[in-house]
Amino acid sequence: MKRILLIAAIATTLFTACEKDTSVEITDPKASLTKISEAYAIGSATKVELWSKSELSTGYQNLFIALYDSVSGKPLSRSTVQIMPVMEMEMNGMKYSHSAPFENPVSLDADNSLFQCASVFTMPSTGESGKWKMTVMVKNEGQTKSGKAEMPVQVKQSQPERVRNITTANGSKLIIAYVAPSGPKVGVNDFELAIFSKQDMMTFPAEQNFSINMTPEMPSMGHGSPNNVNPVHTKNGHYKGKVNFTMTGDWRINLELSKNGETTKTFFDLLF
Amino acid sequence: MKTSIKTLLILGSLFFTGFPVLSQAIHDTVSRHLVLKEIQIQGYTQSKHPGSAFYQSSSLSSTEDILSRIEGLSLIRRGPIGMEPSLRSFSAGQVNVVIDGMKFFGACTDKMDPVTIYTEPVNLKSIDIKYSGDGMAMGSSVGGTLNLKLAEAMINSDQKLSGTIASGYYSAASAIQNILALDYSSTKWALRVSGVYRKAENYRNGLNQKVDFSRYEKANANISGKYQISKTSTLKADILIDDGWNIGYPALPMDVAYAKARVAAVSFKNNPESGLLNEVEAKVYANSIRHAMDDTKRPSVPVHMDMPGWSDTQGAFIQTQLKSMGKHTFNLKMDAYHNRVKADMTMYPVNSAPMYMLTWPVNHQTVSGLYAQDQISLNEKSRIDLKVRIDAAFSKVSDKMGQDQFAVLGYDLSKVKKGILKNISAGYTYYLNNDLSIYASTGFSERNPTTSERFGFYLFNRMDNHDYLGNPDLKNEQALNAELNLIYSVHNLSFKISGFTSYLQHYILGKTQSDLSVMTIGASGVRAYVNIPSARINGAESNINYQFANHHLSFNNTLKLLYGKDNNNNPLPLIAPFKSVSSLRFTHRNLFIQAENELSSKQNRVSLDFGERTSPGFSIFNLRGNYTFKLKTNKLDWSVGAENIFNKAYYEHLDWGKLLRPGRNIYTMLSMKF
Repeated sequence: MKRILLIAAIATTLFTACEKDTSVEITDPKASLTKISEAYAIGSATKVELWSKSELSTGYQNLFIALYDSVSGKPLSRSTVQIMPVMEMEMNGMKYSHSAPFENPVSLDADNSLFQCASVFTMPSTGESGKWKMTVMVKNEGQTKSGKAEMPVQVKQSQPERVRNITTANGSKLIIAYVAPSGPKVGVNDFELAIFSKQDMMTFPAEQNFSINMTPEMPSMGHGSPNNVNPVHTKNGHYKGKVNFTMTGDWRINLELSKNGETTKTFFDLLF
Repeated sequence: MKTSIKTLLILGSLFFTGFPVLSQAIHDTVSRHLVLKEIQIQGYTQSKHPGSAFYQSSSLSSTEDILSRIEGLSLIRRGPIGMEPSLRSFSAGQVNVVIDGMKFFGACTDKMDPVTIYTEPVNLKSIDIKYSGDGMAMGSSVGGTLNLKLAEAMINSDQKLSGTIASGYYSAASAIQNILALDYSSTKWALRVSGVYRKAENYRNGLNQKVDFSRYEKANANISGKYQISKTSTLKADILIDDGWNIGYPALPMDVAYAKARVAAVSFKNNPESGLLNEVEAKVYANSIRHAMDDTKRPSVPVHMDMPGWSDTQGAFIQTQLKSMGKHTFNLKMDAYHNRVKADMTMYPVNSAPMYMLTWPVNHQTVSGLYAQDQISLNEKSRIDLKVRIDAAFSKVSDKMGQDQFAVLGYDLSKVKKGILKNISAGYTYYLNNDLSIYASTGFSERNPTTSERFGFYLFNRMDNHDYLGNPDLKNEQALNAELNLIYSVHNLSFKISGFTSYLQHYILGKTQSDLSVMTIGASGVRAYVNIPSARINGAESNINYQFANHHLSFNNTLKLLYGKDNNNNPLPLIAPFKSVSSLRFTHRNLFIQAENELSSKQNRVSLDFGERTSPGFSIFNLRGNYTFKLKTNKLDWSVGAENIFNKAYYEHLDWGKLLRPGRNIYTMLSMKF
């Protein structure tokens, strides 16, 4: 009997023993990134490179900034970096501009030679009539002056849309950005979104006090999925929860955002 | 013994009902027949057993037709074929259906392909039925074991080359059936080749309506070879191919595009002349099933979907019987198998992307067991039969997507599920006198949950209109069984009555999960399999055979009665009502005429929760005739009959969707042996 158990145990182990080895590889952190633009920060002798995971499109975009001494070309890893996306528009001969929600690096120290920040592009670039640019203020360690780099960036329309610009019933303007999952899969997914309000054309504070009800559904079937966890605020306007997908296909994540007794509805579509 | 070649007409004969008058010398045989219920599927020479007349159904019988006439067996019907055997109301994972001792697992998530669908009577030698844990030699089972034994080639037969060819027609479904069997026999080796082709159109029910989506087509081929290695040992090889296509399931929302089975087995048998062992048999086998559901022929399907399934099993066993030692005769068996199943679903909504999910994640089941039996002859009047089996069972969902799907439900499937299955039974036979004997048995048995019960993902059940979810944490279902049989047999009369009871613990049943929402469009809820604390199934069966008028007339009747309830005294689903099947046969020389009545009471004890509704009783009549004659050297056999003569519109309680059965059906078949 023991032998049988042993044989069976070995047989079973053969089917199950396929855990992956985790190997540590040292690679260029930018290897998986796309360079969006580069410019010199005038006044701080620094070359600024703007990287992203892919070409920029509307919605929440993780951005990575690499700094180099413009003389020696050596990478700089300790610096105060502040970004500001700006849209310059021209409509009927009138020029005006506005910004969008953004998140500056949380630390002075570069993480693996990159300063990580984020921007929510609220609309796509529209040729001559609407151009995005990214301004980056750099003040390196030991320097007293900061320098400013300006880079035009091209922002595509995301498909499906990853950001919602909503005017609520009481007139306030909200920007709701889908953050994660970026690669949705069947199963349990970490869900994350970020909510900002529009105070004026240049100021977009994070909104921390929403309660969110999330219900995924498959519009072509009319069913949802069980055991989802509603996103709750973590920090800086980011809300995290769990979204479950029971199959591949078209999914819609319905969201009800409530604050002070007022509810705003929106959704994000996914296809995988 | 040339019966293996004669497998063209199906004469179900029950050894049991015809067991001989008791004498001390045949204790062994009688005792075995008390336990065994083995239906011999024979050639078209009629069985000599007086009871066989009753079990002989139409010459066009399928495996399912034969099963349906056994008193302890009912069929759960979803379409004209692919009916699921229910042994004393145990079905699906509760019963162990094997082909020649080989484990087999259907590849359909909707139970459209019970193992029995992959065999045809032409390639069967017999069907061996054992209730509760009595058949544990073939594997752990709470509800019984059905062993479909394959026909074998015969070495050193009287005739070198022989064969049979037969053709039949069945009017209700404009069905045809063609059969060919060839036997070659020499002193050293033998080969048997058989094949069947069956095709049926949509059948007509008792209201003279055509039942849409009830057509089917299938072909089956079997090759069996045997080689005599030495005086005491033989090598046998079997290949079985069964292909069904365009099979309609009118009671389900989908049909079957194809159902294919491939089986290969090699076995070695040795009968040592001296030493400790009487007989040794070793076998290795593999089978694979490919199954695909199909809704393309159905009108107004909300979302078209493909639902294929795969099942592959490999196994081996070695068994031996030891030479009798005093009062004891020991049988030992070691076996192991591995089964891999997978089923998935791709839906194609209009104007939207396809959707894909696993309905059965890839599940690897590995089970190995050890079985021992001791037959003890206490004295001239009584015997004891002890059986014990222990299985080590492992189950593992190996694909990431399947694991992720179940993570949604809160289960972690990354680890192997292990379990031990324990089975024990004891039987006691007492011969009161020459005519009357008692057989009592009791036992404990366990079974693993099935892949559907553990890992099924939103499997739609048409019966209760619910989506079903597996429960990876299910416990083994356990049964305590007891039965008492009284057997009376004299020269022209045999009678047997059985009463049995099963107390089940951790009975596996679907229960509504109100916090979950449906996936299938139109479904009314979601159910998950749970272990309910207990359930009880009681029942009784009887069989009588009486011959009179100088053996020209023979009367046979079987009765069955079942009662099932859960721990809250609610009726269990799928319990067949009281049923009686009677036949009266007139035999004269090469001719027989048989009149039959099938009578079923209404079933009011139903599980409303499971979507069952009460069903009315019915009574139908059949008339059959058979004539055997010679044409030169060839033996011909002509049978003709009418089933459901009065064209009654009826259905049985276990028929899904109250789907009416065929109306009046005239059949005829001609076979020739050469």
